[in-house]
Amino acid sequence: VILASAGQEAVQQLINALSLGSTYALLALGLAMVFSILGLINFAHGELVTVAAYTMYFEHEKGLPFAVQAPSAIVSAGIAAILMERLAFRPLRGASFLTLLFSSFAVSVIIQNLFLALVSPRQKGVPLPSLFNEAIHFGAYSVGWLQVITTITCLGALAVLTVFLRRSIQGLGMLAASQDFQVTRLMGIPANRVIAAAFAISGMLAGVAAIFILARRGTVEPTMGFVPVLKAFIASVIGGLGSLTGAALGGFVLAGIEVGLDATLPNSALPFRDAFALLIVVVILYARPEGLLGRVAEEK
Amino acid sequence: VRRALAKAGRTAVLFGVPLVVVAFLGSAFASPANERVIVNFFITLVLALSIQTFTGNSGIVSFGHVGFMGVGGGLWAEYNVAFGPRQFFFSLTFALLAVLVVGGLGSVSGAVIGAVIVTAASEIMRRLEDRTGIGGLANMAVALMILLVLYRRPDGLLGRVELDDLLGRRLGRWRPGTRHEAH
Repeated sequence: VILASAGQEAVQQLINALSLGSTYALLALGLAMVFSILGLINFAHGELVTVAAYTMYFEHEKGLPFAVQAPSAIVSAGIAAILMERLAFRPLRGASFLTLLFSSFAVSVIIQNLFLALVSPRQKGVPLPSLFNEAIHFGAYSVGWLQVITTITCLGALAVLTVFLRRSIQGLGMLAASQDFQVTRLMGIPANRVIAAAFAISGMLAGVAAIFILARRGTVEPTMGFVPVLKAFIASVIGGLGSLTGAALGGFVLAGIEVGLDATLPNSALPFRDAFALLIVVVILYARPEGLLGRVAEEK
Repeated sequence: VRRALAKAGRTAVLFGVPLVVVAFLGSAFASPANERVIVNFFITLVLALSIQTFTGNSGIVSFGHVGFMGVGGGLWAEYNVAFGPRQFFFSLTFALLAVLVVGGLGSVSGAVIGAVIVTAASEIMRRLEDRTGIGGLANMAVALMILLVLYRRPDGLLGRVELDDLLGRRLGRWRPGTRHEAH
């Protein structure tokens, strides 16, 4: 529903929506993966983004190049996710939904305040390669490199994840666990390994997303993970909580709505963009309460 | 119903009297810092109780509820003079969450004890923050407290027990009806 006057603008908005959507999709997938297996809505997911971004900040301070920063951001977010599972969620295995939600909330606050106490409550700049600020020109069209790279990388990560989930035994075990954890355990898939792997993957996806979130905003700050993870949560609800494909789809739908509103709303209404976007989300959920691809709720 | 009312009344007396005493002591030794602590204490307490009531009746723990706060909101507005739509969200939700987890969702005594512990702990840490210049200690301490309580006592420190039940049991038949309810 992009009402762009020129074709060029339409292409630009489309690539904007794709790049934003693929970031949301990565985060939403991480949330959905942990939720579908553990029944935990991980509020601390955004802090994985923060951990990855701060890793890049520290390495930048040490003078390391971007080629080192990016992979280590992904790795550090993965490690942080595994630690989070070990320290905060494994002791609570089998606890109620609320208990898990509360503990993830507490974990999130602890990590945020660690960065606040140890680094600084203020924003710190992290300059990224100048390539990210340049644009590619195809005749009349010009598109930002950042958007193109974001889209390609995130779609690539989604593809790798899909192959992993469909082709490897570990992946199939996780896919099965996301549909019915109890039965999967009965089939001899070790629970702890599946859960640790889910956290590791969700962390690495958050790490990939973090690189581009950082590239877009240019600064790190202790609370930077909150808004992205809120969006990802909305995305996974749109797609249907617990459905992995749904989460990815929801990310793109939410980004499409936001970018579409950015392009069509008059300037005076722009500050309320999020309110309008959420209104549309509410309408979607009225029509399909279980989300776009959600399974109809069943008694567990 | 009558029994429930009687119980609520007892609880109100048991906690109301000390709370009023605390409030008067607070205003007697008024300094801006003490005043802030006491006001915060009452705001979180009132909100925690209202969330408990809401949860008890609907089974939903709703922090969106914070947006509709009545008495607590009134206190807040009175104290802070100016306020905007975003003010309540994060810090207040977090403090409330801590109160409800630490004290337990199940009882009025839980909310009171939770509010006391959380307010005291975060206030001590806040002083420490001022002295050392390191920010974030108060929130970190409260968050650690939440985690510890969740590990050790998932129902909160008090669970479903009311303090007056405990006292009543100690004092034997001093209050008829108490024993009756203890089952």
